[in-house]
Amino acid sequence: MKNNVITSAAFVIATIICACSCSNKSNDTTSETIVDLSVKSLSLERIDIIDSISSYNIESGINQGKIYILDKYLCTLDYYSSDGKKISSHLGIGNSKSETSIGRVAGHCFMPNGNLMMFNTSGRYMFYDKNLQFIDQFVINYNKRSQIPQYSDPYFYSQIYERLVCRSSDNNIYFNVELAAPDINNIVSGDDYLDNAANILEIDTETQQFGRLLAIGYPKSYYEKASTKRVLSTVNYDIDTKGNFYVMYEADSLIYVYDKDFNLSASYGIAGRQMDTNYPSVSSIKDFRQYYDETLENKGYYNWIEYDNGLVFRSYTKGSGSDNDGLQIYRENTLIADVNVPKGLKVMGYIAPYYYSYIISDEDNEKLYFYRFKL
Amino acid sequence: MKKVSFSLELGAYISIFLVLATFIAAKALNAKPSKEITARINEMPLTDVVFLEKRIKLDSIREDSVVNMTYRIVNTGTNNLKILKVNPDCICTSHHETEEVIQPSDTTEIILSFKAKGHVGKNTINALVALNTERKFYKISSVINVIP
Repeated sequence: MKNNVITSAAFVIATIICACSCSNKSNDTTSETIVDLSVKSLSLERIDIIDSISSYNIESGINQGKIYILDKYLCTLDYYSSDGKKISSHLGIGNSKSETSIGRVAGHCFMPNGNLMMFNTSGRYMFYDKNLQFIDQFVINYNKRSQIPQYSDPYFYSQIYERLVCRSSDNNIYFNVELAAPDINNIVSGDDYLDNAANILEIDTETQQFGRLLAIGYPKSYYEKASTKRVLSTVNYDIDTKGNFYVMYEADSLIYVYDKDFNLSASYGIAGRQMDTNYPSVSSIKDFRQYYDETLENKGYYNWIEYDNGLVFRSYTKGSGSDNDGLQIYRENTLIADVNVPKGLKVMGYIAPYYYSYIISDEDNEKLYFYRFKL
Repeated sequence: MKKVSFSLELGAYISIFLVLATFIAAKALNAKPSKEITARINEMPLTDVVFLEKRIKLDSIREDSVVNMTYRIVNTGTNNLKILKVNPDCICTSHHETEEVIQPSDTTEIILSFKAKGHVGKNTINALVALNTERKFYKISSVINVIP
């Protein structure tokens, strides 16, 4: 009985603290995050990739229940077993249907119908069927671009290649983007940029044209000490099978949930633990260049979000002063875990009975590895 | 709404930077080997190689410097080695490699040059190398920290 009272009191206090401490993007939804840390720690198993031929510039994922690695320089897509052994190798540089002439891969995603989409920075989108045979490609025509840069013109946005998030839903593909025109950008435009800039761009693969601009504007927290958040200005997001978006900003503690039509339906979240958020102020392009690497490598920020079967996994870095990163797990608006994990661990998905991390590339030691754990 | 005002000079600087950055990123990621490379490799006798350097790190390079990174490759196979293509990121100023065949047991070099001016901060240079080996393609890289 006594324990129940203590638990209930702790729950109420935690809820109040969360409701008061979290920033809120919109007045339309109430942020209420319940803390029920039923998962105290994760038992992680590290698996090294075996037999890999790699440039160590890679992307990875789960497709057809198997782990794969897409090499951005060698243009290969290799499948691996859940214990890190190579199963099969596909694509590679070349001009046959089973190879790719894409050059260097900027990003990729698998479409809901199982086809692979890869693109390069020239805006060439190439599609491969389930057997990884080339089927189609297109380049978006920029003739419709307006004369003067505008926040509402998708043609002025560019993908953020170093922290790219590429997802698919229905016939659409999505990217995190920024507007970096000379007269409109995150440095010179101040609050105007925070009010109006979009962060996600849709491409309709049927019309082969840009679709909607999404995640327009920034959370309120970005208006406070705005100059310190200019490097950490992009979003991470995932899309569930119903088309709901789970969006987070790198320097904001909340997760924003949007429906298929991008109406905000919920926002919740708890700030990560022991994050070094003492970000340097950026007021010029010189500052931006000076502090870009320092911020991304040495500071604490939210760096990935993954939705999997009712659970939201949000990763965060703590900064160079910490030996580990953090991982939060939410079930709807309830935080069920906030645990320390090895640096670089981001949850990729589930292959029964384990959750798997994305493949971590260690080029200095020529190693590729991942982690897995059970919940 | 607040609007941060900047001098014309800074605006022009930003414009140039953004255009250049976009250009460099686009070129860097899209440079690709010629279409004939894989066909040429398939027609040649294959050999084996060992890279004595694959990744070079240089710290505290001054902005007025031009640095050369040398990657040595040993032909450890029984057939002649031929460097068929070196395809660096655009940030790399130039590259140099022999057009001659390399005999078994001999060593050859690929030299990547990098002009540091305008690149203060951490720079990563990658280059794709095509050789007549079973693997066909290799990536060599440099991480260069440029200081003002």
